[in-house]
Amino acid sequence: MTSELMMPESVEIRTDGRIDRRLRNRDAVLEATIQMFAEGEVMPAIEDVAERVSVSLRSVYRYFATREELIRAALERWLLEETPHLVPPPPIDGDLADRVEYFCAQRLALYFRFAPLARVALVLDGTDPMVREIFEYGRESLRQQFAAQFDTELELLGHRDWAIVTTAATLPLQFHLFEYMHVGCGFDAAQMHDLIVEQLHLHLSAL
Amino acid sequence: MLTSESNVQVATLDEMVTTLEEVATVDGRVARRQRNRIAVLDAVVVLFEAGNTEPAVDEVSDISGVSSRSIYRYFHHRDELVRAAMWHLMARIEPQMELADIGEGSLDDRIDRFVKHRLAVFAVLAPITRAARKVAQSLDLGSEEFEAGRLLFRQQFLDHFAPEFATLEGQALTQAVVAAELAFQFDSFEYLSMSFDGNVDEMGYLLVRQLRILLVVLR
Repeated sequence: MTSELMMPESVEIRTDGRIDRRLRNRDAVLEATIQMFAEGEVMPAIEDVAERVSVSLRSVYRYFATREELIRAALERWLLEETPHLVPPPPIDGDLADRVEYFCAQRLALYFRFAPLARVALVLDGTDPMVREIFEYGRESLRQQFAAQFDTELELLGHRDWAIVTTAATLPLQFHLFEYMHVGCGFDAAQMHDLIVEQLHLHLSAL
Repeated sequence: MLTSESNVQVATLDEMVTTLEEVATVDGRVARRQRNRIAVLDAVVVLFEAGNTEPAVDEVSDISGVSSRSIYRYFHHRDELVRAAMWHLMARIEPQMELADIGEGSLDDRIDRFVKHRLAVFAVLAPITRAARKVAQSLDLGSEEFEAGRLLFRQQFLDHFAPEFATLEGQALTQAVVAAELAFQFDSFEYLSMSFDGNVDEMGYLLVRQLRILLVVLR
């Protein structure tokens, strides 16, 4: 048993340099792909990635059989790196205006941070279980953050109204509507900010 | 300019239908071909509506009674088939896309009718939109198939609530219209449907409440 386990190790020691380089190259390919995602490229071509890291096309295809495989691997790595930033900060104290302001600014920053990643995920496959899970997590944490931050305003509501108000007020903060405002209607961050702040005020002051 | 673009789309659609009818009376073979094409497109729509977002050619063949070989002859690849099915469905539901008595009645009445109408349109369009999105990147929401519908809907919205928007102009008008339309985007319906487990009454209740909050402020 012990000797069997030893065998591959000794082999590995002999080829260490090659394996090392191979892993380094694979790593560089993934990092370059992520870099291209961040620059707004949704489906980078393998040729472009290879050129950027100065690795031969043949090598890249040795690490990743297809473009989809490469993009999926890069997306998974990017998600692992970014996931900690998806966790919303704790609620703050203050009057309604302060809390609305803080909440909206935080959600908007989150959108701009995650938009390139979300776009890649959606183009890759919006129905993929991993992708669905991330969006599901995003929606749920938005709901919880909203409930915690506006506890005072929501606490008097019955079950039905609570669900209606929470759903309605968090609607403009959904990813697809940020995309609609920013990409579809050409709104900049300041216009988006004004719009969601006003929406949230309307919803909360109507209570 | 935006409105005229949407008119162009509608005209093209009418022309297509007229051309189909004319051709059908000219030649029996062509007529059969057209019948088959329509049977194929109907079958695709049926499969989409049943939640099958990736129908196989065999399934389309079974339902339409048109051979797989013919299907491949009419439509060279899936993308083409799905696009054609979308146009087909849109032409079929065109009367339903129209909102009756635009701009008439009290605000509450207009809001009620508007919400009911949009929910009905969503119910018809949802299966095929989901399927279309799954099929091809080229069929994203910026594509012309969706753009035509979007422009039509925006004009409808503006006309229906013209009295409320009359006091606004420029950036304030844009901001108010975009805000009010947020809840009526396709993905918003998907989100609401998910949030209320498909309960259309709750979706309607939320949308009416939402529009009322937004529009009353404008007065």
